[in-house]
Amino acid sequence: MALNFKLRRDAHAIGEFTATLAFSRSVSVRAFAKVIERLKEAAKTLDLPAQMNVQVFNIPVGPTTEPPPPGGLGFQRFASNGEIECSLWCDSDNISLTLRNYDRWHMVLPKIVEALVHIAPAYMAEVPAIRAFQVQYLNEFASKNSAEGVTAEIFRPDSRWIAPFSYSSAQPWHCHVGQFLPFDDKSRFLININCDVAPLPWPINPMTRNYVKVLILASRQYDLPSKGPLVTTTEKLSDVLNENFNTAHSLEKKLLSEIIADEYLDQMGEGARDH
Amino acid sequence: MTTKIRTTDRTLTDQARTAIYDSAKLITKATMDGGTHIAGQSYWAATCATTSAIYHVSEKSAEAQRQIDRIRSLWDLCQGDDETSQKCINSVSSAVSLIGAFLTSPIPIPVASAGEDGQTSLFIDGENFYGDLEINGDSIEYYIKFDTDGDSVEYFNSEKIEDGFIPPKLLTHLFYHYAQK
Repeated sequence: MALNFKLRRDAHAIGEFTATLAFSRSVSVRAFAKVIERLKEAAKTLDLPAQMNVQVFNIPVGPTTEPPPPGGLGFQRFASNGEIECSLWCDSDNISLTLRNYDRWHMVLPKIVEALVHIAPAYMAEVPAIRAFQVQYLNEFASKNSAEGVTAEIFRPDSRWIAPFSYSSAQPWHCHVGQFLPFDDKSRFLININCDVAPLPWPINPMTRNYVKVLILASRQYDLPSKGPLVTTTEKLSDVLNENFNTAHSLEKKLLSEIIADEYLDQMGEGARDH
Repeated sequence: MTTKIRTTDRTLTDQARTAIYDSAKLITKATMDGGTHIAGQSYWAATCATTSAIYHVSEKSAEAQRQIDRIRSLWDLCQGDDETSQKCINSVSSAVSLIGAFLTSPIPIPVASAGEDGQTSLFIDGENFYGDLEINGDSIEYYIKFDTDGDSVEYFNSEKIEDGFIPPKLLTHLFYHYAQK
């Protein structure tokens, strides 16, 4: 079958990828000062020269009297076309690495682990407990020839993650599902899937195309009410990160294969059809 | 509980009191900037005096403040020869820092005490948990005991206190018990 939509990249459709390590609670201002020291070192290693400045407002609601957590800080690098190529962000309770020059998982995972192993000990001096390991992929497709291409060919008609009367529509549509899935006796999965279809300028050539975004978040969550977070040590951190991010990534691939049609999975490479 | 804060001076306890004072500083700053700050059930307007504020303190913060005051009152004991005195000062300083560290954790605030030998101790007697932490200068020796489903688990260890944080092995043990509630 001739495909009427092209992928965002040459060998895959990933427009943006984010890995997040979330701790079970925020660290104090004092501990976050140490996080920033380590963040700056990691940013240097990843060649992220530009500091991201974000204004944060804290509006306490209810009877809480705890001081607000410290605001976040991040660094980024721009590609020659002006896109943000890579960014590393630290908040009071999480670390996020975002890549737009995603290669393959086996190439990306060591980068994630290296950055997180460097920064996380500063959080773990106060909070040695992890709430979630998240991966999020933004898959993008654009019609090759017109702004009106019907996007149904990209999606599996029987997918349980897409509203059945939306995916075949010739009109712009949006569909979102978020859900917890059981995994084992200590953790569960959180999934979040957003599909958007609308005519938009395609980023590479500014021509209006029918534009498809499939955003998939797969998170291994240690937040079961009776179990709590994953308590660990800095010595075990590298293994813990590898195991949990691999698990989250496997789930993401499974979800992708339950959403995207086989003809497109074949183009997306590296075992996208494994599941 | 209502507490009156007048000024903040840079004493030893300021490090550990950061979290306690943060709310007051926010209020003061908002007042000085002509803005307002909402904390708990109280509300400040620009008419407040700029160097004082009355604010609502959580029970945990209040308990931390009580224990810090208690340990500071033992400061006079640190009057021996130079070496003993310095050790005593370090023990009091470490105890104050650790109380501050407990404040930002899910672990309850321990009861603080000190002996004439310049050693300070922190004691926790919580639900299914007992902890006795002896602080000597910048090191801590501890005995902790957890009861889980009728089984008791005990840990003895000695660790160095670095940068005022709860040492990692002790912190991990405490999180195993308290973070999973």
